[in-house]
Amino acid sequence: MSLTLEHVLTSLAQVSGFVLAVILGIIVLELLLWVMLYRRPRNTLSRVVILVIDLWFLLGVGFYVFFYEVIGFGTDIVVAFNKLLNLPGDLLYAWTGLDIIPLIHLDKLPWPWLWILAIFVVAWAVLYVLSKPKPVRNEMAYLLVAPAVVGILALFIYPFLFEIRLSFANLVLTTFKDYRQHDALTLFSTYGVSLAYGVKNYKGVFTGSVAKSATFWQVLGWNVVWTVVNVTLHVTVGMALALLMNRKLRLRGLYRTLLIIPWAIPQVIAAMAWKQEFNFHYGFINNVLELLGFQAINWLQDPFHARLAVIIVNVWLGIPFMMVIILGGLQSIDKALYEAAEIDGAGAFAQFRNVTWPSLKPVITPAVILGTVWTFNMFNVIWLVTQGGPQEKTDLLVTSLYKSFVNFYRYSHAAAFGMVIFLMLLSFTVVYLKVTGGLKSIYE
Amino acid sequence: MQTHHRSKWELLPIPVVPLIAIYFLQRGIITQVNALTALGAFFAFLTALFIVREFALRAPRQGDGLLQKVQPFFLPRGREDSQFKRFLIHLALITASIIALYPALRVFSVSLRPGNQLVSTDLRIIPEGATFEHYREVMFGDPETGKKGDFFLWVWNSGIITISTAFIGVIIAGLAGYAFSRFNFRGRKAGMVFFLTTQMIPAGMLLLPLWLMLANLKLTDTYLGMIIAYSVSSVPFSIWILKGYYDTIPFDLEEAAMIDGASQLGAFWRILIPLSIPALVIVFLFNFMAAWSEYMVANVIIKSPQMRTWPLGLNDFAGAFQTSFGRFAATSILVAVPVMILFLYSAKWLIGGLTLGSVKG
Repeated sequence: MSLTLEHVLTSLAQVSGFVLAVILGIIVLELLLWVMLYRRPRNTLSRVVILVIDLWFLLGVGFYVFFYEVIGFGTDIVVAFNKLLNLPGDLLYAWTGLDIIPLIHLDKLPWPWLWILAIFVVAWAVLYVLSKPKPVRNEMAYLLVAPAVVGILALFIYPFLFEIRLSFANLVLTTFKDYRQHDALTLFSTYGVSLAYGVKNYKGVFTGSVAKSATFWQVLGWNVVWTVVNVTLHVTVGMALALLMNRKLRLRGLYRTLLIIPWAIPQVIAAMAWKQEFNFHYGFINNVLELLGFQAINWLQDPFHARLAVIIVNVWLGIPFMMVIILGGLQSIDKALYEAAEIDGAGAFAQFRNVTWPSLKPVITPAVILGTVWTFNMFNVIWLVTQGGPQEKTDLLVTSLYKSFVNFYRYSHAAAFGMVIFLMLLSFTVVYLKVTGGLKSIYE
Repeated sequence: MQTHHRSKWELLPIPVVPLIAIYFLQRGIITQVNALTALGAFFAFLTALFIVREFALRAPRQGDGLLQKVQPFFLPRGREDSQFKRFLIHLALITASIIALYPALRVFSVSLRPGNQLVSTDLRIIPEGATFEHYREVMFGDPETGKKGDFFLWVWNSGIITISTAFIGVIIAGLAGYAFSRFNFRGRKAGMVFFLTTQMIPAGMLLLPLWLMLANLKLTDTYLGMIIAYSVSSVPFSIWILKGYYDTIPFDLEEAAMIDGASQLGAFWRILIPLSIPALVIVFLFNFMAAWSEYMVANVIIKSPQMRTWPLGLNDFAGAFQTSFGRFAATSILVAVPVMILFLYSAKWLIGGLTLGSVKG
């Protein structure tokens, strides 16, 4: 496959059309909210008309969701209606028989959406004419957050609820077709959902295997070890390097640039490149080991060394982040504190303990939390270096989750498993925030 | 007062030494030299420099002429650490730099290897008979087999998905970030906590429902599906960064504009947006880089070879060690170098955004 002009043009048309549609959608949403928040009815008559328009809008959406999505009633009507909506395009296409502008196919334009847009424009004009300005204070905030709220509702809340629903179903490869035939792969459908399935799924996470044969507790154990080892090494080595560089030193900028490189390389490439270097015969690690007189190691075949290998990769990747954060923290410490400590007769270690460490703490704490979550959920390194092998010994919770979904098609199990992981991380966050009171700085 | 004159001759080794080294390596004059012995030689050179400084340069007293004025580039200016200690620090930092750099340079080295010695135990950075044939192959295809190059297709696919994602993300987050920064509306607190919570969700968790949603809408294996899936993860974090940036701009500026008759929206558009262009650029870059090298979601949503993004294609190369090692390395270098330059350029602002107290999973 190579890049052709046709591919470039069609993809550009698709993507730019989509981006324009998103912008148009945002504008429509803003106008609607604006007329709701910034205008008020002129008189009783206009109040009634506006109420009718609002009710009609709300009821229309409500009826559609209830009858079509939930009950499945009126499918034929909707199909017929869709045909009607597409009529202008079909007619135009039939009459002219050709496309007015190449690449814009009249019969393929999103006619239903254009209809909705037209109805909206008319309704909005009516609302505008019938209303007068209203004194407002904080309403603009709602206009500003509205697109984000819609996006988050559609792409976080809906999938999240859908995930919960799936965890109470019995969706595996063999039942997938059945669910699809009953149009049951949406949030509102009640087909094939029961408490018994849910109990089975959630129980299965803790008692059975999570992906193929490894159990939840084995994977969790390794995941915790992995996180602790990695974060400890990131912080200690990062701190050591930062302390070394926080001096009057020639070439400091050069060192900083060189040491940051593992972070700058796209993670995917770094992980894949490291995978190659663990090759028994031709990877440089074994070559260096042999040069120094050691035995070559079969890195990716036995569990212990595979775990060591992924830890090496992740430590290499993660140190620059900690180093840069800590260096930033060190540089913001007032030099006068050290001078004062020196006058008081504090040695190097005492200075570190009494000046450096307390000043660094507010910088390191969020970085460690960030690093812990990143490391705990590290997908790329594990998946691209070992694919969780050998015998799922390097699998983390996220890679097991991914495997159970992508490789073993245990959809409902994966949904329940995902919920368990999420609740675990959530409780960790809540406890952390309670302990440190870390949310205070956010509000201000 | 000591003046620091820098002799121009002292700067000469900076370009010359690597050139000589590369020349010797290339011509095979030092046939046995490999990376490790070169390393040893480098350390020996450094040690010699410090010994010279310790015993030769320090000896002259004040006003002894030429040597006093000269401040060679390898000598530090500060007085906190002793010579030996400073030497040890440099040694440690050089070792660390080599560990950080070598695996990356190794990819470059493999990309230059000629096809008949792709697999070798050679540790040199620039291999014998270095060639750009792999670069030509991945970009323009192999004339011998008539196979066409995939590189531009992958980069194009990745590029338009990524740019659209970043663009949409910046619009949505730019608006919402302003609200969270300037207004005290109902639900603000809950919103901020909610955004923090979304960052705790592992990216793989919502993948299954998202995939089913996209399948229902017949959007799997399309650009639109990819853009929708990517904008999930980028928006909350972008709001965080932008809110932090808007907070640093004093409200007085907008207030002044509003007293002069601008509306709140006008003040936002005319005052705040121009002032926060750097932050918007950074958010754009951040979203761009997060989506640019994304593998997990793409692997689920994209199936046909024509829609592939570069991480997917690259992973196929990485799968077969012996046959496509060179193509893997060449593609990696071509993709990674621009992104790395972009990253190093914007690292300062990215780090600022990261340390605003947000958590990204």
